[in-house]
Amino acid sequence: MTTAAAQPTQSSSTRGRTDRPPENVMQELGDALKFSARVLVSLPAAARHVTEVLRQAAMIAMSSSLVIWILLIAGGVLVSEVAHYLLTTVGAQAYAGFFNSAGINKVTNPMYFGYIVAAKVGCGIVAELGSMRINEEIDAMEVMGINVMAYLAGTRVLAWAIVGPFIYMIGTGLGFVAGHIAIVDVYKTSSAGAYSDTFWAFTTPADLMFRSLVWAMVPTIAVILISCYYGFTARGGPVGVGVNTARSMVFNVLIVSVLGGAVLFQLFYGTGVIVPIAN
Amino acid sequence: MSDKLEQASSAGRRGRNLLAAVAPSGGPGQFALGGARNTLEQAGNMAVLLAQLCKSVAHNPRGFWGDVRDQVADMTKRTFVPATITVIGYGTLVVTFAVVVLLFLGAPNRLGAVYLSFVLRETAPYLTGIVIAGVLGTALTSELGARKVREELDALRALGQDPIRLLVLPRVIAMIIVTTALFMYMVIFEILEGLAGTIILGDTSAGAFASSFMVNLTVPDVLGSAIKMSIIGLFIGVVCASKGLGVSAGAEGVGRAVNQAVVISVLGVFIISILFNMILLGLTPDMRVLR
Repeated sequence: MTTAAAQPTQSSSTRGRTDRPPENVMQELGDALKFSARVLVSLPAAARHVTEVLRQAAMIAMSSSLVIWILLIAGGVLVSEVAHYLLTTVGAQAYAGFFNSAGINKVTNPMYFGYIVAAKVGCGIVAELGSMRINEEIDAMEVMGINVMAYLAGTRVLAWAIVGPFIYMIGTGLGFVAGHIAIVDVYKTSSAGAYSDTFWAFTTPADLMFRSLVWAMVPTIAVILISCYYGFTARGGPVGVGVNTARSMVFNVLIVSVLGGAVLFQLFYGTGVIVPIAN
Repeated sequence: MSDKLEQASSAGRRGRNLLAAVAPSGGPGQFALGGARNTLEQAGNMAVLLAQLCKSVAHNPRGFWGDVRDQVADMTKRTFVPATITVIGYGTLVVTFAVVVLLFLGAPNRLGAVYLSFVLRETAPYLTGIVIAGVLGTALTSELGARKVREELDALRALGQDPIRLLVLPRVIAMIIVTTALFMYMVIFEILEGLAGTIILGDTSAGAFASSFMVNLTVPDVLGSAIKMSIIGLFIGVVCASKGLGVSAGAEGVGRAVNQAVVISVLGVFIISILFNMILLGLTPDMRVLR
């Protein structure tokens, strides 16, 4: 531990323990959680930088939305494929709509969304903030008196909170369309009317807007926070940026799997996938 | 490698001249065509790398298997814990969903067959792909990118060694082996999770699950999935190695290369899985029957 004289008097709040990297996984996890808490606390200050928030939101929407939509479309096609072969053997082709609705909204969409956001947006944030840290731009901003937590990390979290739900809902819609085309036109499991009838009979607004959306957004906000942490703590030149990007991806995949897969699913559905019959 | 680079760059020059004649600079046309050309250029680089790897193996298939063994050990150490945590997290979701859906359809005794087809064909391949791309793909790209930035690859070439054969080939072969092995491990783990879920949540016994499972396990299923995972491992290896070798100089070069590599890998896992499943299910009527 450094003595009080060796520590900088101005609290370098963004550096943490940059004189030595975290020694094991638990220290890294603790550092990341402390950093995330500080970013969340600075969100009201970040809300003042409205133009930066909007700029970040535009950048996320322009660069990442197409990739995310491609993956959510692939999710719809995947569920339709399973639905076709499974229900044809059992003889329940008419219920392809039910299988698609439950499968897309509950099994595939939130998890796929989390994984692709971790890959595209998360790693992009680590690369960007890491290169800013390497080029000492973050230190220059601190010297100028800008609150870097709010200006760099908080604005990105707010931007994702603005843009993310839209990307997710549009992607879900595209996944529904892809599932419809796959079942009705490609696999010819059931007719368009039967598919649409059962599909919309089993999709409730609460399922779609509340549970599915919250279930998709919570792990991705955690992913953005962890990516900001790894971006801020990059050290050792361009190679360090790459190493931190790789480490952040591992961490983000685990967060999405555990938080999105196990915790939130149990929170929303427990052991009973709510299937409203004839609503 | 250098003469190929010269050929590629002269071809690129010819392509760019053609492009300038067809699409004037500025405006949306150049954006679309430029983006397409960039994508095709990167895809071409990956194809060139794959061809170089095949040629290197065909010329002299000995001498690198010790490195392959070391890389397999290193990669297994890295992916074992994240794979287990991921499969526990996602497996509880899939188990709960499958049990409840089949209880709703009134066929919980067929859970073994349903779960087998779902897990073996869809869930385990893409979970393995995500873990491999996230853990190993990013490590491969960042390691090769670091070596390129530090000019170690040029130093190897100056010493007369081929860095592709020395560095990339063992890692790509090890990635194929580890992907297939990790897939088997994840399938076994998820099936055991399904068994536990059926006993606890479903209304049937473990015997119904086990008998339905074993009756429906066909050879095309297992073999086809193993071949699919090998293809996915090869894809991830070549994409990440190509991105790592082509890192541009500068502070954000390596980070951006890792970002692009992992996005392409994740998308590729899904698309390869969907296409392979379509072909496999279409060709083998054996797999489409639930017994």
